[in-house]
Amino acid sequence: METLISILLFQGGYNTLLVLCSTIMLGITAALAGSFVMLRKQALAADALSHATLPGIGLGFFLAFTLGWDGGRNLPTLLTGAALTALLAGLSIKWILSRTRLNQDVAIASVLSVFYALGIVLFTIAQRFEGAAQAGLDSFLLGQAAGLSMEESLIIAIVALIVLGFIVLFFRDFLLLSFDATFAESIGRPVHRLDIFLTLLVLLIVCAGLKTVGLVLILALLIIPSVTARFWSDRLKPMLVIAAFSGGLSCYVGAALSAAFENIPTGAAIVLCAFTLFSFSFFFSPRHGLLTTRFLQAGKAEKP
Amino acid sequence: MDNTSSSPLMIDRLSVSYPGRKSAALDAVSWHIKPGTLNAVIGPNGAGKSTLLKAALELIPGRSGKALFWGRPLREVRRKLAYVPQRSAIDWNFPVSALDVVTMGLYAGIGWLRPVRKAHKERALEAMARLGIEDLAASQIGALSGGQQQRVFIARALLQDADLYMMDEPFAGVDSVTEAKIFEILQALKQAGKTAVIVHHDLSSVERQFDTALLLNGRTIAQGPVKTVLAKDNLTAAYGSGRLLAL
Repeated sequence: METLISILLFQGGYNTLLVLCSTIMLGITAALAGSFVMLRKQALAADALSHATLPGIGLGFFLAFTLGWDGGRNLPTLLTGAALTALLAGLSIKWILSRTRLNQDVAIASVLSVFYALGIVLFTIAQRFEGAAQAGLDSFLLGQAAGLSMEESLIIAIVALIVLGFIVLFFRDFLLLSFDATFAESIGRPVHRLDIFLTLLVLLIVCAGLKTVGLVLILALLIIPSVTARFWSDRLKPMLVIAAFSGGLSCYVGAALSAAFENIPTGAAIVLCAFTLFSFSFFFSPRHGLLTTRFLQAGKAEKP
Repeated sequence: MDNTSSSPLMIDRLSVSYPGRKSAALDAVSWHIKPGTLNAVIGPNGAGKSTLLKAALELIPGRSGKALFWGRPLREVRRKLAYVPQRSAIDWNFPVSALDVVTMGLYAGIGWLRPVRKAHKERALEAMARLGIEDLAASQIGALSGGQQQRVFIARALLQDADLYMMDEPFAGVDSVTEAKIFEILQALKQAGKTAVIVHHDLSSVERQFDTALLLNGRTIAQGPVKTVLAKDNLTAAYGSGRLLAL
C-alpha cells in the first residue's frame, strides 16, 4: 500500500515515473481519438485493427530474429509489422464491404477473428524460439508497462503529440465527418481522406499502446473514457476535455496499481480504473446519471 | 446569356446503378431548372428522388450522365449550393447543440484554423430567429421535436447563403407550424431570386407551393408545370391506380 502511495505521488523512482508519464499521455490521446471512434460507431472496426496487430508482431519477431536484430526484440520492426497487418485488415474490411453485400459488423468480425487466429498461430511458433520470452512477446497481449524502456516511452510521447496536434487542427472537420458526413461532403470537405486520416491516427495509438495496455484491451482505453465523458456533457468540446481527463486518470491510477502489485497486467488495471469512472458517471452524473435522473423525477413528482 | 449558363441546375441523362443490383436506381433523367423557381421532385417510395439529389451533388458512386450548375461543374460552384440531407440520416444523440449545428452552415466560409467568432454565432442566431427556434439554441439536438430539428437544418442551409437550395424530404414527419414556416422561407427565397429543388411527398401541397415538378419512378414519368405533371394519367403511371384512390 505504501508503495502504491509513493508511486501515485510520482516518487517511485525514475523508471516508474517514466512509465506513469507516458501511460498518462497515452490515456489522454487514446481518449481523444477514441471519442471520434465512439461517435462514428466504429468501435468494432477499431477492435479489429488492434487485434490485427498480432500477426504483424509475430512476423516482425521472425524477421528481426532471422536478421539477428536484438534477438527478435527489435521494437521498430515489431511495431512496423503490427501497423502493416492492422492496415491490411482495415483494407480487407473496406474491400469486402465494396465487393459484397455483407453487413459491416459481419465483415469486421470475420476479418478480426481471422487475423487474430493467424496471430495466435505465429505467436505459438514464436514461443518455441530462443529469446521469445526475453523479447517480451507476451506483454503485447495484455500490456506490461513496468518494463517500458526509454525508447518505448519516447514513441508514445511522439504519437501523443502527433494525435493531439491533428485533433486540434482538424477539430471542425472531424466534427462534421462524425456528425453529418453527407453535409461535409456537400460543402466540399474531403471526407474520404479525413476518414482514412482518423483511422490512421487510431492505428498509431493502438501501436504505441501495444506494450503498455496490450492489443486485447486497448479498445477499452479508446472507448470507455469517451462514453464516461458523454454522461457529463452534451457538447463535443467539453466532452473531449472530460474524456481526456478520464483517460489520463485511469492510466495514472492503473499504471500505479500495476507497478505496486507486480503481477497485475497494466492493461487490465487501467481498464478497471476506466470502468470505475464510467460506473460512477453512469449512476451519478448530474444530467444523465441513472440515480440522479431518478432522484430528479421523484422530486418533480412530489412538488405538485 | 444562353440557356445553359442561366440555369441553376441542368441534369442531362443522369443515371445511377448500385453494385449487385440489376435495375438502375435512376434511369437517364434529364431536367432543366429555371432560376428563381421552386421545384418539387415527387414520386413513390424508392423512385430515386433522394438518389437524384445525391447524384447531382456527386455524393454517391455509380453515376453516369451530367449535372451542371449555371453551366459549370459542381466543384466550381459549391459555395453557391446548400444541401439539406434527410433527417433520418442523423444521429440525434450526438453531443452538439442546435446552435452548433446551425453554425456549421458557416464552416465552408470560415478559414481553416480560424476560430468560430461571436459574429458567426450572431448570424447563426439570426437564421434561427427566422425559423422561430432561437430559444432552442443551447439545447442538445436530440431534445428537439422532429419539426424543430428540421428547422435547425433549414437554418443551417440559410446560413450558407446559397443561390440554389437542394432539400431532401424537409417536410417528412414535421408538424404544421414547421411546414408553414418552411414554405414561408421557400417563398422568401424565391422572392429573392433564389432557386430550390425539394424532394417532396405530399401531392396536395405541390400544386399550391411549387412552380414545376419532376415526377419520378426510376425514370422520368412527367415534368414541367405542376398542373400538367399532376394529371391523372401521369400519377397512375407513377403510383399505380390503387394508390391513387387513397390520395
